[in-house]
Amino acid sequence: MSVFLSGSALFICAIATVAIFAGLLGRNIKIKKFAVLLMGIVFILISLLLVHTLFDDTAMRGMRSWYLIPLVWSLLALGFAGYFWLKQDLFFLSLAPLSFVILFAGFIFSNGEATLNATLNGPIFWVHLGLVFMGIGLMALASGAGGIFLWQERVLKRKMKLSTLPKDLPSLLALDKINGMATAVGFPLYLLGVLSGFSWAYISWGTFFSADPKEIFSIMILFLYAYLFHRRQGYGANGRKPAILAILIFLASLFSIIVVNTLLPTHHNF
Amino acid sequence: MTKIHLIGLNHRTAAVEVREKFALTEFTSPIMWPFLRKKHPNYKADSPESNSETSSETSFGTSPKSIPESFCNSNPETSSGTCSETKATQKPQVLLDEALILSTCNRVEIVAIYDGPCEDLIQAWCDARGASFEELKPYVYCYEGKEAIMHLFRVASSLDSLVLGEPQILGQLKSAYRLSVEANHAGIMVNKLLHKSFSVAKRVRSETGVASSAVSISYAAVELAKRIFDDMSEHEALLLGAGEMAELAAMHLMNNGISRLCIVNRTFSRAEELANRIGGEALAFESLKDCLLSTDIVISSTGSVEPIIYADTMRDVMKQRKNRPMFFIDIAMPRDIDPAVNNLDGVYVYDIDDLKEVVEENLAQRKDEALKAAAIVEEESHNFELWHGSLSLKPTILDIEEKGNSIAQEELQTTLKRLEKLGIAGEEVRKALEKMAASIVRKCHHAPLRHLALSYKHNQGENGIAVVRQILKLDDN
Repeated sequence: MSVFLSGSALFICAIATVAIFAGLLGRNIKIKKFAVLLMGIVFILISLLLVHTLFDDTAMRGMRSWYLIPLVWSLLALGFAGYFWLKQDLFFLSLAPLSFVILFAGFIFSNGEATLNATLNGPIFWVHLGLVFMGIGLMALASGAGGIFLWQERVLKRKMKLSTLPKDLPSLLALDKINGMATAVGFPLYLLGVLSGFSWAYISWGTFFSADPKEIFSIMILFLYAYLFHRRQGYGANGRKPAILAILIFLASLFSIIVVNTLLPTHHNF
Repeated sequence: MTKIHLIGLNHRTAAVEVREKFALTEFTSPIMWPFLRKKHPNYKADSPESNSETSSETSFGTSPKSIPESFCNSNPETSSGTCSETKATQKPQVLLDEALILSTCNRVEIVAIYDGPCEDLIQAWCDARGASFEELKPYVYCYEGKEAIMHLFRVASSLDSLVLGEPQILGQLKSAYRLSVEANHAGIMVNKLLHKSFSVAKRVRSETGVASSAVSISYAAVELAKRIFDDMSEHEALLLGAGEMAELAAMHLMNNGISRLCIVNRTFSRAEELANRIGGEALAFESLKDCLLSTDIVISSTGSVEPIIYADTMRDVMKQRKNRPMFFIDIAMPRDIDPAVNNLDGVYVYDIDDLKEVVEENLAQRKDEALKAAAIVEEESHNFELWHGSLSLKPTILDIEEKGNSIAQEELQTTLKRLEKLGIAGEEVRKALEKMAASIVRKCHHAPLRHLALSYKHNQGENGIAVVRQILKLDDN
């Protein structure tokens, strides 16, 4: 069941990725709507997979690649929140390929991988995962808005042809507001997520900090996130720089999740 | 089946002098109506002539008396006599079923539902405007059937307008339709045709980008402002100088709900005068820098030979504004805003050439979209033509049903009499026989009706009608 759900989600996500690019580049509304519909199906499949692994297939929940499922779910949930809130399908331009890459990685790494240590399977672990993923998800939203901001800003600044921009694109200020709001909510969640991780490490391993590459990366991301939060909330900074910073933080988060967790020696490779 | 005719002239076929001479505006169109006569005997019209019991032809809605007195007095063509002594009583009149007149500064279109040639309509138009046929003929186009439908749909969709995709034409067509309805000139065809025109125009607007981008400098400026700021009501604008185009752009911003408009001019009295006229707030020229701190959109059009706002000034301003975006629309020549200002983060400067490029790009885009729109118009015209053509089948269908029902009734009565003689007649028997007769008639109708539908579908409607009428002897008395 889990294999079927994750395999179907991966397959449909691949088609949706191609469709969203084809629809946006070809400016075909029907294809774009079809792509969003497919992403909706992917979201439903991932939700079912999440529920299934939480309540039935506990063996899969114990696998180290399982945590990619709630990550994809968080990203898609925020993508659809943005879609219904702002009537924007552009977020799927980044979310669709990203979801595909994460699902693909999860699919590959699930073969012959080690299972999660039973001692780690406590409530704080789930709080830690949930908060961190929500923080990263909101950063994905901020970076998506930031990416579109930079694109539109470039067109306006360089006085390029306006026809290169979709008609229904939100204004620069609206995109900047999305970036600001996502940062304002995302940073506290991420901070609490990291703090709960340290607490959980203390409970499980007897130490708050063990100079693990994942921990170092998480702290670096936290500092970057804090800097962005501080600039936005304290100085009211807006425009290009926060947009670039949001993209950097999100890319660093992805690097931390995909590269650090899987390729570097870390006790976070659960 | 009556034909759909459309005659007219527009900005492509006639110069402004000709369009002026043959205009049939809301005030002048009533002079046209008396030259067009309704042929339906029961048609309600308020012309004195239509009350005549002997007349089987009635004048269209508006009587000569309803021609505005001011027009009659001011128009040299009618001022020679009183309005009631209209030329309609002296000139031949066109017999038709329905009509509609659309007259704008760029076009005059007359839609007429009637069987005659379009020359009669042109003649009536000439008569109404006191001109000769030869004077008008070279500028007029005549369309019939599908071409007329297509042309009207193109006009409604603004594909035939001087500025492609401009929105006013649809409102003008709606007004023309209202006048036609009010004057009792609109019947089933005009109603259907106009409602379809409105829906086609709506479809074109929603499915293509033919009307979606700005094609004037001032609108382009507002369109760009919307790309930067989301809700205009949260932003302030500053009008620097008092140029005409800048004023127009400021008006558009006001219409888009800008929260406050400040006007700064070297001559304060001019700023005050403009502020009173368009509803802004006049400020002293010395307060310009303070203004820049709070304002988000600046429209500049002073006559200064040197730039008024430099990059250094703006660097300080942007720092104090915490990089809150600013949009400069520099319509002045020479420019008022130092071009280096555009290099600052969060500042967007568009001068007149930049705006012209936006307009040209939008116009080119509209032309591309017009191809898509033309395909929609073609498709809808074809569908309408099919519906219109299917009306010709209606009399034959009614005749088939009438003949079938009358035979069934005759046979039913004969059978009922026989049954009565045999002593088995009753209410239940009668009902059963009526049901059976109706069912037989319906089933017998199926084949000829299907034949009619198929022959129409294969563009052989006339043949199909002839065959069915001959076989079923519908024309025999």
